[in-house]
Amino acid sequence: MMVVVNPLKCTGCAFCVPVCPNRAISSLGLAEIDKDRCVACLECLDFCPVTALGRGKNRKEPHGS
Amino acid sequence: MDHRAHCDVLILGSGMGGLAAAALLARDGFRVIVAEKMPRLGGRCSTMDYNGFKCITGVVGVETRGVVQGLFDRVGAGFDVKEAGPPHYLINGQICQVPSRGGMKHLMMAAGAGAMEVETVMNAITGALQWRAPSSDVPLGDWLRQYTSNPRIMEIFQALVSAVLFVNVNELSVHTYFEFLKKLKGIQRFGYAPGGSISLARSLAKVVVDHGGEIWTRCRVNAIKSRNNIVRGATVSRRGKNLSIKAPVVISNAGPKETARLAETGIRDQYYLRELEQRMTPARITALQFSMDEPLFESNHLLVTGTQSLNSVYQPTMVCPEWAPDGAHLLVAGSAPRNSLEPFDGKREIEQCLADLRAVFPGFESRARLLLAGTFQGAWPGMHSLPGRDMDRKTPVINLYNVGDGVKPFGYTGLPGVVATGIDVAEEVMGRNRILTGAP
Repeated sequence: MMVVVNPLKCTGCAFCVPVCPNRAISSLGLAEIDKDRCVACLECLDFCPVTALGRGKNRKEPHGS
Repeated sequence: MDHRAHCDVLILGSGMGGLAAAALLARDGFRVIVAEKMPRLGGRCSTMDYNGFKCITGVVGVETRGVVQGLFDRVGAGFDVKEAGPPHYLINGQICQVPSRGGMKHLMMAAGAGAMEVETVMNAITGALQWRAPSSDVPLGDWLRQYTSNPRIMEIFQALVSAVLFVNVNELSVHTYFEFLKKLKGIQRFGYAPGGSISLARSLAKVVVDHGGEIWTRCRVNAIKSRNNIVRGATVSRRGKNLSIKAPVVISNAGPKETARLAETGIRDQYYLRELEQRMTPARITALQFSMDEPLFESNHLLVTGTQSLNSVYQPTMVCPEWAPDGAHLLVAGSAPRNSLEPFDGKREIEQCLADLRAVFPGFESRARLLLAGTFQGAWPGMHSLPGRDMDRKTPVINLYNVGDGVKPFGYTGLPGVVATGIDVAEEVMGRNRILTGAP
């Protein structure tokens, strides 16, 4: 499992970048998750103002959305 | 529903509009609950600790001796803001200081305008400020072009309105511009909070808690509840549980569109929903934050003219070294697209802002290391509405209010505008309560 970004919701604010303990997130207009670094601790989910982050296996779409 | 709670006023969101209302109401004896979805307070007036830097979430500088400080004084909240000197302007590659009097005249001279031309523009401005406000539907750019054809003069106005009002000279109505100059005096004094902008949010939150209020973080709102067109409270998720909060008054800091979505089943007025779609235009901005070994220039704030999208560069560590590790500096560059309505491409905006920085500051690339690149648009914009396009603070649902930068008073912008909405709504709630209870 890893965190996935919903590109239709992400606004690119980069609030998720500093809160990742594993430096797995980068953002240049859209958040991107480094799947090799993400341990799915899900800390970033609470910091996303637009609910664009979710848990899932698929890189493109959060599970169930 | 797992649990129930109740309060006098439920506030959705701990942005500065919500916290301003919460602090005033808590001090007046109302039992207040503030529900914040994030783990930290302040929304876009907050701080992210990153690599030892106090990175911004939106607000960089804070207006002093104005609406914001007035609110803090009124509720007895600590206002720890270190005043900075006035902004400088970058005109024709030269950094120009702005004198406290005759600033605009000085800037136009620096832009190479002749004495006659400066006189003509200044006379028009004096007339608009002191005699008659120009027509509301004329863009500032068109109005100015009656008095000058000098593109460099236009660029001075462009830098100011783009940085402060998040809109372009050809999009902002001249009426809104002069109302801004009258109401906020162009924001003459400002500074930085040594503890980061989040310290302002924490200071108001302390007032709320000290007066018996509660602030719940990691608390997401699922729906705003109403019956017979009167608000009843909200359902929220907190610590994995669903909770129903009963409240006779709900103040939403979530933005007018999100408020309407959350209250969907309660809003029957289709014309209000249509107005939300047609009138509200979010302000789109880009904020790039850099780590520097030394300042790029000798000023804490530079308004940049003549660029494609870059409009301002802040060096808060020149005033508050606390914002960076020892010996380092934080630089914040702000930009906005030249067209506020065309589709927004975040990656392109970031690249344009970087290109402008490289063009304006020789050797920028070797001196600055990018920490964070944030784009603010769509559902999480620079402001929920451009100045002059704000919605009413009352929603169609009785006792459901909006606060924040989608409902600013006319002529207001940014943090002062946001705080003014909190004050306005809190006073309305206090006034109506006095009528209902017969209290003096």
